[in-house]
Amino acid sequence: MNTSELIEALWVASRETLQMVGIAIVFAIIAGLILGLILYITSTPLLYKNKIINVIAGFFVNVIRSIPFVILLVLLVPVTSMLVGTTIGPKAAAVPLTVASIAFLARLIEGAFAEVDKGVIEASLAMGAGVKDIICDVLLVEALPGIIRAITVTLISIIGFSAMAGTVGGGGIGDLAIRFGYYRYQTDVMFITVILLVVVVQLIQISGEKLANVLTKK
Amino acid sequence: MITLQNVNVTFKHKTSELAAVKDVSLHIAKGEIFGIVGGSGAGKSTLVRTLNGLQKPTSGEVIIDGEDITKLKSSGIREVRKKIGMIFQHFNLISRKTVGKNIEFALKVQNYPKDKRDERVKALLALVGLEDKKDVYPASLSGGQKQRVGIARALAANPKILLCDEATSALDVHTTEEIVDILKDINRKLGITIVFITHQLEVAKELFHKVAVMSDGKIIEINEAYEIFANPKDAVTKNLVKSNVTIPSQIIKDTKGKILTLTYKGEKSIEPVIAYTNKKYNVVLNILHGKIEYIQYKPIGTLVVSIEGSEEQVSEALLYLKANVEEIEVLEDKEREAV
Ligand SMILES: Nc1ncnc2c1ncn2[C@@H]1O[C@H](COP(=O)(O)OP(=O)(O)OP(=O)(O)O)[C@@H](O)[C@H]1O
Ligand SMILES: [Mg+2]
Repeated sequence: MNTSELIEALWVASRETLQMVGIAIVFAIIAGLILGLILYITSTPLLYKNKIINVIAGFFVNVIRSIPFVILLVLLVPVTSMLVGTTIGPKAAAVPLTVASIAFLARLIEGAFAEVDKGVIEASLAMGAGVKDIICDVLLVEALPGIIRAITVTLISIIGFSAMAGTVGGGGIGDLAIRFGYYRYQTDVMFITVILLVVVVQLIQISGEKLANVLTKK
Repeated sequence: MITLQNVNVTFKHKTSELAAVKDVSLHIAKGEIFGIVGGSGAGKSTLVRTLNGLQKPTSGEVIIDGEDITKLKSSGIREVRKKIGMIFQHFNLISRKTVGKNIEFALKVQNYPKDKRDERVKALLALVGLEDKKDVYPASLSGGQKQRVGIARALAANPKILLCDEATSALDVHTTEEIVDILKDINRKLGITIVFITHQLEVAKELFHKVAVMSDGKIIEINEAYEIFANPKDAVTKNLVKSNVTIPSQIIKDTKGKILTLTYKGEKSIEPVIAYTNKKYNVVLNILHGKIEYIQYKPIGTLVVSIEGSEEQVSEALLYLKANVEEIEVLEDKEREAV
C-alpha cells in the first residue's frame, strides 16, 4: 500500500468510524438521558420514588452492562438485520454500539443527577414546582457539567467498542488496523491508526473536561 | 393563619420506628413571628416541613388559612406551597442560574406572566438591596447576599407565610443581624407571618414574638418571647435560655461566700433591693457581673453577686431576695470546684 492508498483507506475508515460512533452517541444521549432520569427519579423519595420501575430499569441496564460487548454484538445480529436490513457496514455496527452505550451512559447520567444538591430540589418543591419544572430547571441545569463528563467518557468507550464492531463487518479505523496491521503485517498502518486514535481520544477528553469546567458555576 | 391539631410524624425504618413529632397542637396568628427552638434532633425541621406539605404527618391536621392541607392531593398541595415561601440554612440556590434567573424560576413555577417577570425580578432584588447582582452567579455572592436572594425568591409569589429553617445559622453575627432586620422589615411592611427555627438565642431574642420550645418531638413550652426568656417554666427551657454569664474561674476561686445569679425583670431597678439586703440582713453583697437585655423591647436583667455573712443571715437574705427577683440560682460548691 503506497502513501496515497493509505491516506485514501484512512479517510474511508475514519468516515465509517465517525458514522458508527456518531449514530451511537446521538441515540445514546437521547435514550441514556431518559433512562438515567427514570433511574434517578424513581430512586429519589423527594420526587417520584417507585421501587418497581426502578428495579426493572436497573435490571435492564445491568444486564446489558454485564454482557461483554463481543457477545452483545453477536446476540443483537437478528435485531440489527431487522432494523437496518443488513448486518454489515457502519450503520449495522451502530446498533449494538448504541445499545451498549445507552446502558453505559444511563448509569453515568443517573450519577450526575445524584450529585445535584438535594436542598435545591427541596427548595423547588417548596415553591410549588412540579416534577417537570424540577427536571427542566433544576436537574438538567445543575447536572449539565456532570452530563457532559458522562458523555465524554461514553464517547471514548464507544470509539473503543467501534474497533471491535468494525472487525465483524462494521469497517472503520479499528478494522483497518487489524486488516492491514495484523493480518498483513503492515505495522506502519497499525501504528498510524493507533496514533490517530490516541490523538482523537485525547482531544475528546480534553475538550469534554474544558466544557464541563466552563459550565460549572460553583 | 396556621393551626396544628395533634400532629404526629413517625418515620418507619426497617426495624424500628422513630417518632420525630409527637402530638403537636399549636396556633400561629396572622402577622406573627413565631420561633421554634430546641436541641438537635428535637423535630423542629420535621414540624416546619409539615406546614408546606414537604412532610406528610402520620396523623393530625395542618390547617393553613382555614384549609386542612393533609387532605389535599399533590396538585392542591402545590397550590398551597405557592402561597408559602421558604428559606434555608444553606440557601439552596440553583448554582448554574444567575441570581435573576433563580428568582425568575420561582415566578415561572407560579405561571407569572412572562412579559412581567423581568420587572418583578428587579422589584424583588430591590426589596433585598441587591439590584446590581441580577446577572451574577450565586457562587460569587457572600453568604448574606445568597440568603437575600433566597428571601427574594421566597417572596416572589407574594406569600402569606414565610418558613425559615435555620436561615441565619450559616452566617456570621453581623450578617445574621442584617438578615434579621430584613425579615423584621418584611414582617412589618408586608404583614407576612414568619415561622423561624433557630438555635441562635440572639436571633430568638431579637426577632420572635412568640416561641415554642421543642424537645424530643414534643412542644414542652409555648409562650410570648419575653416570658420564655424572663420566666422559663420547664427545665429544658431554663437550660436552653439560661443566660450564660461566664465569670473568670480565677475570680470564682478568689470569691468568698456563695455566688448567686439573679434574674429580674428590668423595669424595676435592682439597686434598692441590693442595698436593702445589705443593710437589713447585715450581709455583704458584691456585684461580680451584670447586664440588661431587651426582648421585644422589654428588659431582662441578670446580676451575678457574691454574698458574705453568717449562715443564718445569708439564708434569711436569700429568702428576701427570692421574693424580690424572678429567679435566683446558687452556684453550688461542687460546681465551684469544677471550674
Ligand atoms: N426523612 C427522614 N427519615 C427518617 N428519619 C428522619 C427523617 N427526617 C428526620 N428524621 C429524624 O427525625 C428526628 C427529628 O429530625 P429533625 O430534622 O426534625 O430535627 P431538628 O430539630 O430539625 O434538628 P436539627 O437542629 O439538628 O436540625 C431526628 O431523629 C431525625 O434523625
Ligand atoms: Mg433541622
